[in-house]
Amino acid sequence: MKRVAITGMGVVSALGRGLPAHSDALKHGRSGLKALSLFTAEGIGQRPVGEVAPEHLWPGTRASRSQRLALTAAADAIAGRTLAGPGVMVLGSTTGGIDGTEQHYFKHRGKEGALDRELLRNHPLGTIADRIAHELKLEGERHTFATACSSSANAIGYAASRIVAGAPWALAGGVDALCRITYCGFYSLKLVSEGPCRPFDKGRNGLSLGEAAGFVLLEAEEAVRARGGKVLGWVTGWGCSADAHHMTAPHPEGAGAIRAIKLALEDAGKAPADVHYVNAHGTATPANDKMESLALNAVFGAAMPPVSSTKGATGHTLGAAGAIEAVFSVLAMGGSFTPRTVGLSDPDPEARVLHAKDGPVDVRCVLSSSFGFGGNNTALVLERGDA
Amino acid sequence: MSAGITGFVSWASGGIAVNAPARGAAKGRLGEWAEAPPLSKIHPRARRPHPTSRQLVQLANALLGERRIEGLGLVLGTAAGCAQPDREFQAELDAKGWPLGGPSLFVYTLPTAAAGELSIAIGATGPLLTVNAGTASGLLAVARGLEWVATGRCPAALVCSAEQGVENEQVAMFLIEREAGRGATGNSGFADPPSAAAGDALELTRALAAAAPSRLISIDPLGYWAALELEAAR
Repeated sequence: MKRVAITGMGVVSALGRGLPAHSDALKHGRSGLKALSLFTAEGIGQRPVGEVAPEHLWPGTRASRSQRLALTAAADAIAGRTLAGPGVMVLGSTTGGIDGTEQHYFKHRGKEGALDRELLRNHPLGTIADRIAHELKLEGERHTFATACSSSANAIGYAASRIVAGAPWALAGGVDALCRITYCGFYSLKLVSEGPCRPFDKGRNGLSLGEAAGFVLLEAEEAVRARGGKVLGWVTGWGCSADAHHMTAPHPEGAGAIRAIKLALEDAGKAPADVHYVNAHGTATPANDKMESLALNAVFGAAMPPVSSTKGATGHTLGAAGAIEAVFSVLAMGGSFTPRTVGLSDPDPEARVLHAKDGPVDVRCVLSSSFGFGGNNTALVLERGDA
Repeated sequence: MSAGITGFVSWASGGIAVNAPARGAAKGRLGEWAEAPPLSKIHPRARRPHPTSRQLVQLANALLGERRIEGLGLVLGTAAGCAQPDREFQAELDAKGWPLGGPSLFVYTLPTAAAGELSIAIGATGPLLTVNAGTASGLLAVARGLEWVATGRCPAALVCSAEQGVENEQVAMFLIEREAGRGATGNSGFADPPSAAAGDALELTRALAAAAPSRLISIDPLGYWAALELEAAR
């Protein structure tokens, strides 16, 4: 079977733009969370979020915020290369064009013109992928996946399967922008923390929302070697499952998460003991972190590797989370470190995992997990690339 | 490993059709289904179901009955997606105030909500996915389901194509299993851009009912296209 190489990566989040900025922030435990400034939500307040600085948005005012975030990260992943032949682009998003739709709604408020073509330009989930393909002149298959907060992890897994099937290249990633609908919606579910989120902490009381985009460029190993390219990392396993339990609550014993993780390890041909670090979903909601710790203990048992959540640094970036955390996992392997969980000070004994610590560590294999509303569970196995 | 379509059902303007060509065209609103079982008996959120999952659960019940498939995969292809709940949630925030949006309605603004609700209703614990590729979404969903089953990611997949809350509504559903026993076997892929006219999920029900080799092509103005090759079951 062909090995799937990661040969390009792009990421933009509250931590900045690009690989050095993120590697440095993760290594030193910095957080990008600060009080919401993009808009005001009367009655809720300006809670901590992970906003992307305006200078990191792709230029152009006709594109939605999601499209501008995605374009920045996608272009960085390609890094100016000309990608030969029709390839594959796979995008994962939770909200799609909802931020654009929201602006449209504010403009018309249900009056005449509310269903004009502006809505069509931004609302459908696939419009972000359409825009990337158009702006970056990418020829080939185009897919948009929605599996809530595991969307972009599934995008990467599927893209890897297309490389195995013979595609010359695949650009895969995810994006979600902050907007009022998601901010108010998560508030209505009582899931938004008043202070910065604290994954796996005893005092955690919800998530901090964020926005981001992350992309990886995938190629078959032989193609990379033939052109003398560098392999940043490998995608070796992908597993996904459904809880079939509840629309917003995870399965209390993590049954679906366990299935997805085991399927990813099986796909990669790895045993639990082969994994050196777990980049957890770790949203800091009471239910998720407890469920996830149960799932990780069920899979790894006494061989539990260091675990951390990077959402204390970026916020929960929804459909982008799987992709940016795959990028973080590759950065951790390349930089020989495990990102600590920002915001964690008093570990919850009921969400027990082996918490990652600062300091150099040999990381050659990472499991990155992503879970979403609707009972979506996805896990990726990633391995270290060339030195 | 081969995979094939072993059952299909559709709901269009002309009504419901099980393992038969779609009744009516994909024009106008969905027709009534007076014989449908009470939603309260088959839908776990029957009091306030997702607007699309209501029909999906009813069709799944018609297709599967009491049958349960361990590790069943589920793919939904949709272009309109969650447009209707999005508009309703925005209007609710306007009417009640920003902190007072309904949590259930918010969850329905996710494009994946209908598929998630269906997975709960029928106990589908395999891979779960919602795909969007304009008007080619339905055929691409079928392609994903075929790939999953053929590559062993799940033993069977229920593939749905649904457009609701739009001018022309349609819902179709296909059961894909390993080693097809009846119906037709499908393969999908992207070759050279086709020159023929468009097809869609309802067209697929007609092709399957004919049980003759055929090729379906779906083209979207935004540049998506999908081709599905059908061959008769062995």
